[in-house]
Amino acid sequence: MLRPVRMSHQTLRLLAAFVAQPRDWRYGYDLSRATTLKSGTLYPILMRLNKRGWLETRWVAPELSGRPPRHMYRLTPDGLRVARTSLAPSDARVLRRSAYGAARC
Amino acid sequence: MTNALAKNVARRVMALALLISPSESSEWAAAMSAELEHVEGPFNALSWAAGCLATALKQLCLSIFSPRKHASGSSDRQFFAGPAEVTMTRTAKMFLIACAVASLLFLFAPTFRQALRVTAGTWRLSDSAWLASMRSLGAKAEAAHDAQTLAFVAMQMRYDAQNLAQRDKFADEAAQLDPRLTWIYCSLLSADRMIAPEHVDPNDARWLTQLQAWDPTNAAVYSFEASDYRPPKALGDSEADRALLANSPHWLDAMAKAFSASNYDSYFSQKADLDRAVAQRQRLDDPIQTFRGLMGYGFPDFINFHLYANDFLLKSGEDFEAKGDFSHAEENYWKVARLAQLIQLHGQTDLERLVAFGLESSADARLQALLQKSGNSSAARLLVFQAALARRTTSGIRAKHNQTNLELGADGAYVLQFSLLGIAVSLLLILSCCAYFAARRLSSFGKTARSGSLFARIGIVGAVLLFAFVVAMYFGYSPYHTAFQNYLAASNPGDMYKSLLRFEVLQEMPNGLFYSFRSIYFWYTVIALGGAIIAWIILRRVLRTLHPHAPVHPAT
Repeated sequence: MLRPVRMSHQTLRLLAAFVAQPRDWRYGYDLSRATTLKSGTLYPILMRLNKRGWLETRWVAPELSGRPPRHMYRLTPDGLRVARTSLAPSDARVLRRSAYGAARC
Repeated sequence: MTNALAKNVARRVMALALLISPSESSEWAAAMSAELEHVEGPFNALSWAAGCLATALKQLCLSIFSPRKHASGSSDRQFFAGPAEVTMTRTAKMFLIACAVASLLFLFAPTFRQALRVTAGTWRLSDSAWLASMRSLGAKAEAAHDAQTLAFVAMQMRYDAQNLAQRDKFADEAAQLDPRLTWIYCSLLSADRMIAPEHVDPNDARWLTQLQAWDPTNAAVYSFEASDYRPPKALGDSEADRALLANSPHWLDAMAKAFSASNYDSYFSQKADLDRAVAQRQRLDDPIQTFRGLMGYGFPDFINFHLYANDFLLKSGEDFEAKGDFSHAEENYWKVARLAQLIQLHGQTDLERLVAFGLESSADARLQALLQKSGNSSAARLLVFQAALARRTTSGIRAKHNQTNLELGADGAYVLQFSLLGIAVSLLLILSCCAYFAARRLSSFGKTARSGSLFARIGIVGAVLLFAFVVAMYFGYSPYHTAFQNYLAASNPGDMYKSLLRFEVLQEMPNGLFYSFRSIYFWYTVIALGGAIIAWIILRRVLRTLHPHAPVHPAT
C-alpha cells in the first residue's frame, strides 16, 4: 500500500494549478511559474503524484530544433478527483495564495 | 556574457544532478534537465539547477536507505496480493552494521571506556556500587596486609554510614601495619563530624589521643580536638557565640594548644600521594571517585582558628592595649600572626593559604598600629610591607582560580553529557528496529510496507547517530583523559588539584542545578521525557500502519 500524499500547502497549490486547467498538458517550468514553487520543491511533489497514479506524463518533441524534448504533466481522472476533494475546504484560500504568489512573480 | 556564464554553470550543475540521479528516477532527472533550456534569466537558471541537484541528492539518499519492495509485478497483482513485503536494502543493512561495528570498536580504546564510565558515573543515584567495590578491595588488602590500600579504602568509605565499623577496622589495621599512616584518622574524624555532628564515634577519642601522641606539635590536630567541644551553634562572631565558647573550657584549651603549636600539617599531600599510589597499583581509573575522594578530604576546622583568633586573642589583645598593657597585647597578636605564617608555610592548598592570609592581615593591622605606638617604626614598616605582599599573593590566588575556571569552561562537559544521552537514544532506536524485524520474522505483526519502511529508517538513523555520538564522546573526553594522566603524573598538589577540577565541572552538569536538586535527576528526567516522546511517535506511526484506512486525506 502506498503512503497517502501529504497534502502540504505546496501540494495543494500544485493541485490547484492543475485543476485550473484540467485538460491541458503542463510543463515543469510553466507549473513552477504558476505556483511559484522552486524546482527542488516542485519535482518531488510531481514524482509522488505520479507514483500514486494521480499524474500522467509524456514526452513531446520540442517546438524549436536543437532543444531537448520536454516532459509534460496532467492529472489522471483519479488524480483530478482527489485534487478536487482535497481542495474543496481550502480552495478559495489556496487559489488566492496561488494567485498572490503568481502576482508577486 | 553573464547570462551565458550562468547558463553554463547551471548546465554543469544539472549534469552533476543527472550523474548522481539513481536509475529509477533518471527519467525525472532528464525532465528537469530539459526544462533548464526553457528557464529565462541567469538567476532563475541557477536556482532551477540547484533545486534539481537537491532533488537528485534526495533521490539518491532514498535509493540507498529506503527499503526495497520485494513484491514485484503489476499494480493489480500488488493490490490482490495485499501489502508489499518490505526489507532493508543490502546497502542499508551494510551501512547499519558498519556504523554499529565502528561504534563498538571504540570500546577497545581506553579513553572511550573511561569516558563512558565517567560520564555514566555522574548519572548514578548513589555510590553504593563504588563503596561495595571498596569493601571488597579492603578485604583483599586485609588478607595481603597492604597498609596503603587499607588506608585508601578506609578514607573512601569515610561517609559510608552503614559500614562505619568496617571502615574503622580498615583504618586501625592500616595504622597498625604502618604507623606513618596515622594521619588518616584526621580524615575520618572530619567525616564523623559531618555524618553525625552531635554524636561522637567511640573511636574518635582514641584516634585523637593517637594522633596527638604521633604528631604532638601539629596545630591541625588540636583543631580536630577543639571541634569535639565546640558548641554546634557557635559559628559566628556574635557576642552570644563568644559567650558560648567562653564557657567551653575544653575548646579553649584545645585552641590554646593549637595557637602554641610549632607546626601545621593538614596531611593533604600525603592523602594525594596515597590516592595516586593506590590508584596506579590497583588500576583504579575512576577520575570522578578520585576527585570526590580528594575534594572531600577533611581539612582541619578553620572556623576554630577564625573564632579563637578574632573573638579571643585579638579581642583580648585590644583590651590589653586599651589598658596600656602593650606587652600582653603584642603577645596575643603575634600568636595569631605566627599560626598564620605556619599555615602559609606548610599549607599545601590555596584554601589554606587564603585562610592564613585572612588571619595574618587581622593580626598584622593591629601589630602595625601597636608597634608604631610603642615607637618601633622599623618593625611597623616591615609589617606594612608584609601586609602588601600578602594582599598581592591573595589577589594572585583569586585571579589564578578565575583563570582556571575560565580555562575549564563547561562546553566539553555539555558535549559529554549530551553524547551519552545521544548514545542512549540511538541504542533505543536500533533496538526498536531490531525488535521489529525480529518480531516480524516470528509473526505477521505489522507486515506492511509502511511500518517496515519506518522501522528500517529508525534503525539507520539510530546507527548513524550512535556512531556520531560515540565519536563526539571520544573526542570530547580527550582533554579529560589528558587531565587525569596529568593528575597521575603531577609532582605537586596544586597541579593535581587543577587537573581534577575538570571533573568537578563534569560532575556538576548542568551548572547550577547540582546543589539544588542533584543534576542526575535532571538527566533522568530528560531521558524519560525523550523516551516517552519517541515511544509516542513510534506508536502513533505503528497504529496508523495497522489501521491504514484512517483518513489522512479524503479519497472518494
